[in-house]
Parts: sequence; C-alpha cells; structure tokens
Amino acid sequence: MWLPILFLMIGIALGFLTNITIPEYYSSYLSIAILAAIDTLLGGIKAHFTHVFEDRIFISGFFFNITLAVILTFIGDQLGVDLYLAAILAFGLRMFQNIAVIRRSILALYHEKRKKRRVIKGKS
Amino acid sequence: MKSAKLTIKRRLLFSIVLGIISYLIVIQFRSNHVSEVRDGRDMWEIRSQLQTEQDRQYSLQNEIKELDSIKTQYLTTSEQEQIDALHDSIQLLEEKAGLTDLEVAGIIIQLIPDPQLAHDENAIATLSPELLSRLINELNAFGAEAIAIGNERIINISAIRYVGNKIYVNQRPLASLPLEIKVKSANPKRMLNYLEVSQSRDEFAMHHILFDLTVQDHVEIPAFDGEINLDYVTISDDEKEGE
Repeated sequence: MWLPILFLMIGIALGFLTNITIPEYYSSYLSIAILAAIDTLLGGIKAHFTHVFEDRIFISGFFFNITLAVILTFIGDQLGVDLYLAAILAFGLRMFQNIAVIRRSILALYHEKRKKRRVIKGKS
Repeated sequence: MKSAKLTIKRRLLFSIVLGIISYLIVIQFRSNHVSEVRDGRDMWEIRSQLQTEQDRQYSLQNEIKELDSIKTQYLTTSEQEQIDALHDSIQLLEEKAGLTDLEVAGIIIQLIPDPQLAHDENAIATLSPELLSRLINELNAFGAEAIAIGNERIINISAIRYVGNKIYVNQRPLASLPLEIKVKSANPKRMLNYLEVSQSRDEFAMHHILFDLTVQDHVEIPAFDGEINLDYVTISDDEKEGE
C-alpha cells in the first residue's frame, strides 16, 4: 500500500517543484488527459480484480486513451463542436462501472477473509 | 489461472500511473490558480485607498440625504407644493444636463490664429477635433462645470466630428477661427492659472493657434439646443462610477 502513496507524493511534489503552468487555452486538453489517465488506472485495477490484467494492454491503453481524448478535443475545437463531451461521457460512465466492479471485488475479498478467519477460529 | 495477488511489477505500474495522474492534476490545479492577484500595496497606498473610499461613501450619503429630503418633501406637502417640488427637481436636472442658459463667473478662451503667420506663407492655423477634445478633457479635469464652444453647449453626449473639412459640434458646423470657448468654473482664477500652463496651450500653439484668456464675472453660456436621444441608454451594472 505504501508504494502508490509514495508515487502519489512524488507526483504532487514534482508538480509543485517544477513550476510548470499551461496556458488557459490548453487546460481543457489537460483535464481530458487527466480524465483518460484516471479511467485507464481504474480500468487496470478492475482488470486486476477480474483476473484479465495484462501489462501491455494497460500501458498501451494508458497512452492510447490519452492521445485519443486529446485528439478528439482538438478536432472538436477546430469544428466548433464540443466533442470532448463525448470523451467525458464515455470516461465518466466507464469510471462508474469500473468503480462498481472494484467495490464488489473488494467486498467479496473482505467477506472471504472474514469467513476464513472464522473457520480457523472454529477449528482452534 | 492468474493469481489475484498484486505482483511487485503490477504494483509499480499502478503506482507510476498514479504518480503521473497526480502530477498532471497538480499542473492543472496550479495553472487554474495563476491569476490570483497578490496585494502588494504598502501602508500609504492602502490608506489613500481608504481615504477615497471614505470620500465616496460620504458623497453617496450626501446624495441619499438629498434624495431623502426631496422624498419627504413629496410625501408631506400639499399637491401644489408637490408640483412645485417636481418643478424644482426638473429645473435642477435640466441645469445638470445643460439645458438651461447660464450667466455666471467664468473664463473665456479666445482661439486666435498666430499673427506671425502673416509672414509665413506655408503655415496655416488649423483647428482639429482632436485638439478640441483634448482641451475639453483638460478643462473637465480642471473642474469646468459647463463648457460652450462658440454657441454650442458641450454636454455629456456632445459629439465633435470632422465632416468635409469642417468641424461639427452637436451636429452643427463650427465657425472658423477666431473662436470663443466659454467655461463656467467655481474658481475662475484658479482655472486661469491652470490654463496658462496647460498642455493644451502648447498643443494649440503647435498648430499655430494662440489662447487669449480672460476671466469675467458674467459669462453667457448658451443652453444645449437639440434633442437628447436616450433610446439606447441602459442602466449599467458596473459598480465603477465617476465622482
């Protein structure tokens, strides 16, 4: 559990130390990229719980999703249509689905652990 | 079957992605909060700011008091007196809007072509709308209460335009030089001193026009003669206001 927290801290520290700011015009691109990244991460965790996780799919999905979302936003910008809403909708829906699956899996794991403990206690 | 346990590699992968996400979020967060303005004023500036705000409060309170007294006048008096009060306020407003003739102490600025021009064939004394606008701005800054160019009263919506080699004020062409500008001022002597050293004087001199300034006890300033079109006037929500 300490490793993700460590990297979270490193990320935040880097963000504050590097003093990088992006122009306001591009902030929608960055936010959509963040959304894509979070979606990919949740997808990966879900895949882990459902035993279908593969490194290559996870890594490629991470970069591909971000790129696709940014390209979609760019095209939408050029056409004057808010295409990024499509990306937000897709990511948002999937995020909720993934979180639901993750929650179920964690609950199931927890339940199983308690059962095992009870069985061990009963034996002793 | 793959194990559900987190291998160290998988854990590292998730962590790196989490790190990237947090990095991006921090950048986004910081980018959105760049425009925060820091208050870098020192004591003196804050004090003078406070002073101006207090002045404003004072003048606003005065205005409220004035309006309140008019209101009580409306409410408490008989019909005839109400009509009188209304007439009074109409009079007051007309005076403020520049719809009444004035005969007050003030300054007359004579714009005369430079007499030396008679010897110089190339130079011509030319008046331009910009010069007049600048002069009016400067007069207002010096505290002019009413201004008339020639016989045209300058009010808040007066336009000075250049149409076909002629200057139009209030939609009417201006006579050629020499020209009289009449200014009402609470303190004409002070105004005279200001004008003696004003930038406008230099600017006019550059265009070969000289000022002849006189202070008079009775300056006749004509009323604005024309329609004030308020069709496009709307109430602004902007809190900024002139004094």
